[in-house]
Amino acid sequence: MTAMETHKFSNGLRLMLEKLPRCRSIGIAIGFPAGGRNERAEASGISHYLEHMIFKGTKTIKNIDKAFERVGANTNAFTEIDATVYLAECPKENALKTLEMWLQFLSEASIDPEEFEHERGVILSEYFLTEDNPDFLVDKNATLSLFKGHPLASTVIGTEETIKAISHRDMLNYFRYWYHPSNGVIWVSGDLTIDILIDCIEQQGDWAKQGATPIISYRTFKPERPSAIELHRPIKLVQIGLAFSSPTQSTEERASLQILGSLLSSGQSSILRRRLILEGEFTDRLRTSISSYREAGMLFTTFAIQPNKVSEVLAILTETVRHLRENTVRFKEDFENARSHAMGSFSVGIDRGMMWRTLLGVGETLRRGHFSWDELISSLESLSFKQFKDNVKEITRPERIALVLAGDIKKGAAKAVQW
Amino acid sequence: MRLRLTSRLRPLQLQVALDRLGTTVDATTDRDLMLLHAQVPFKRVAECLKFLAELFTSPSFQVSEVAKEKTSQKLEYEKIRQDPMFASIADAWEATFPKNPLGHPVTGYPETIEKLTPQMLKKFDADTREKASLVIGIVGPQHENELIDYATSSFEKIKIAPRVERLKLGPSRNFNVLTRPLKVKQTTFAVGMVTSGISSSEYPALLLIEDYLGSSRHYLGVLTEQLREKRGLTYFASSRLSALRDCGLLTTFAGVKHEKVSEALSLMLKFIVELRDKPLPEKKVEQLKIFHRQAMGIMLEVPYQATTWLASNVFRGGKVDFESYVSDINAVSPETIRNAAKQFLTPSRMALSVAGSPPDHESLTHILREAVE
Repeated sequence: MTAMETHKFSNGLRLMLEKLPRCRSIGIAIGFPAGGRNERAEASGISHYLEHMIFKGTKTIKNIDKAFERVGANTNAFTEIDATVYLAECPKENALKTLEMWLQFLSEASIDPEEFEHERGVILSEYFLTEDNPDFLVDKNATLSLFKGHPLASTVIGTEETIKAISHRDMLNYFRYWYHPSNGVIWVSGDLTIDILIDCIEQQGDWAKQGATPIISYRTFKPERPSAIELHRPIKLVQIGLAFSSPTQSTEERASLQILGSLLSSGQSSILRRRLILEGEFTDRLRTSISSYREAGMLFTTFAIQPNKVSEVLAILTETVRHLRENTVRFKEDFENARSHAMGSFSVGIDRGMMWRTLLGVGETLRRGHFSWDELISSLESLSFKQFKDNVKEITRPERIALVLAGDIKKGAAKAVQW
Repeated sequence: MRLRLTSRLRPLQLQVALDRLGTTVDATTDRDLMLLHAQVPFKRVAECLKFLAELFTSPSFQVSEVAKEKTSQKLEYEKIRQDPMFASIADAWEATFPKNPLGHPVTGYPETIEKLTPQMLKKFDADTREKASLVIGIVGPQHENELIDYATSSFEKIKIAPRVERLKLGPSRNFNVLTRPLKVKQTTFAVGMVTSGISSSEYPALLLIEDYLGSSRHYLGVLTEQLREKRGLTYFASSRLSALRDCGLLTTFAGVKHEKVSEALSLMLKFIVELRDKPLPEKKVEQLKIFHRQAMGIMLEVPYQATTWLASNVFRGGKVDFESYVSDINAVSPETIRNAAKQFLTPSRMALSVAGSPPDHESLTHILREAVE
């Protein structure tokens, strides 16, 4: 059992401490519910751009990386569809100093106009990186396509046009609106006590401020039709992306998505790994990711194949999806294997390092208000085969599927697929 | 092939067994070692070790399975070469070590992969197990004696006869340049420099040089600071030290707009060459040392990273007890850093690879010559 302690400040700020006795390092994550879903279409990418600007420091401290370096802290940040999270891992003895520094940098960011313009080139370079890498390219287009018409349809990084169009004024307004303590969650993992963390946070004046919480419009995601995207690119291989949306209101629905990920593509004996790698000669590796947002989840898998194998592979994908939808009952044994895989991956996943652990923790708290690793593991353990089958039937409905093909492909190849 | 089947388990049986253990197993092949790594819930470590031992001791090279694996390997080769960042880093090895086994891609070339036969693989496997050292690294909450017992009982079939073939460098040359045109949005370039290996006295200084330039441990190196933070030229400008037993490759790389390659390359070289021409300030070196010690301490708390570090260091003759590793880092001075830089900053040890829309060969060589000589 993981020992969790929590505290809610009077302004709404939440503090979560995951106690890890005898651990010499500390993980810190500070998150706000500011991500791609909150952006106006013409300012797409602003949350991610702001994440870069936070690293440009305050009026008095220009280089925050150097300041963190002096206390032996590694830092990073991630912008997602529904959150932006700032991270640090550091030796235990410098935990409070590192936390104080993040709190200061996040409340006093200067967002200097000159630095803002300068950073635009860096963001564009990152955008080009996502365009040049077929895996990233397919991933971001799958999200856009799967959630079309819903706020979850976001690339996070934006487009070349929107990155060029975001103004300094837009940025300041966005920062002031979304980065208020009342919105925030602070997650700490390590061998500390909650009292010293509360003291440390209360001493940072700005973090005790009262303020209105921005309204996030959550609305039900209703998938309407299957989507297919073809990205014609002059590359040697064809990158395929297959995405499913899933309901994620109940713990059973979320557990089903995790286990389906293992059953379909991430497990060592998963169906697609079996069909495309072990039995066929279609690809060398499958990459699978699972995202779970407030209104919906996404299971995504991507891989590269030779262009002359597209028809064969699409036939395997359609057959697999239909089989899952219509004959799930036959997968009883596979279900148990997939469950073991999902539970094992989850357990070893949270031990991947402090940054990863705290990122997962703060993201879940922002999305659902509370969180514990044990709860997630026991939801995987207790899911019945019947619940799983019912959820898989729902997730594999054709309107919940998006297919993306990138490369030198025949026009209409993706759109012709009938799920 | 080791992860595909064994003489007892057909491919699907093997994968099902791994899923039942809740294990994630993967393999990494480098220029000088093959690392099979598994992450497993700690209660199942004994079963997992038995399984890994079977993958090592009872591989199978069935004709049909070899054919499938060859297709996979060719795909992996192509995949790397259509992404400008991965392509330029891979090409940096080829450019820095031309006509040398170290320069060959780890996957092999499509034509060499095609020629592999089950017999060749079988012989290679047998030879490797006879000649090479085997290292088993385990990090977990159990008592060390318990872990050692698991390991020795699982791997008892293996005959260990340590012997390492020394690699020899090819003839000296002047700034090898390799370009790869790709229709992409930005161009990536990588500068490759031949360094000493992990067991050399320069290795601690090389680690600090990697951190100084910018590494996965130390993101804000001078290259990020100068190319990204000061000039907004790129999203990534970093370095990577791949230290083998006898030699290594320090690669520095960045992705920029096509028209900015020359400017960014000149800048990158300027900061690398400064390492040779003037000693870093004492204070800077002390900061690098403190940061390195702390970053390694944090890294080694992650079981997967700790086992990988341990196993590869044992195999390559590096330090494995953290205290002695730290005392080597503590002994680095501005002068040792400068001496290490002097060794690799010579035309015979440097090469350049560019993937995307590269400037012509002559101007790239000119930039290298101007900066280094």
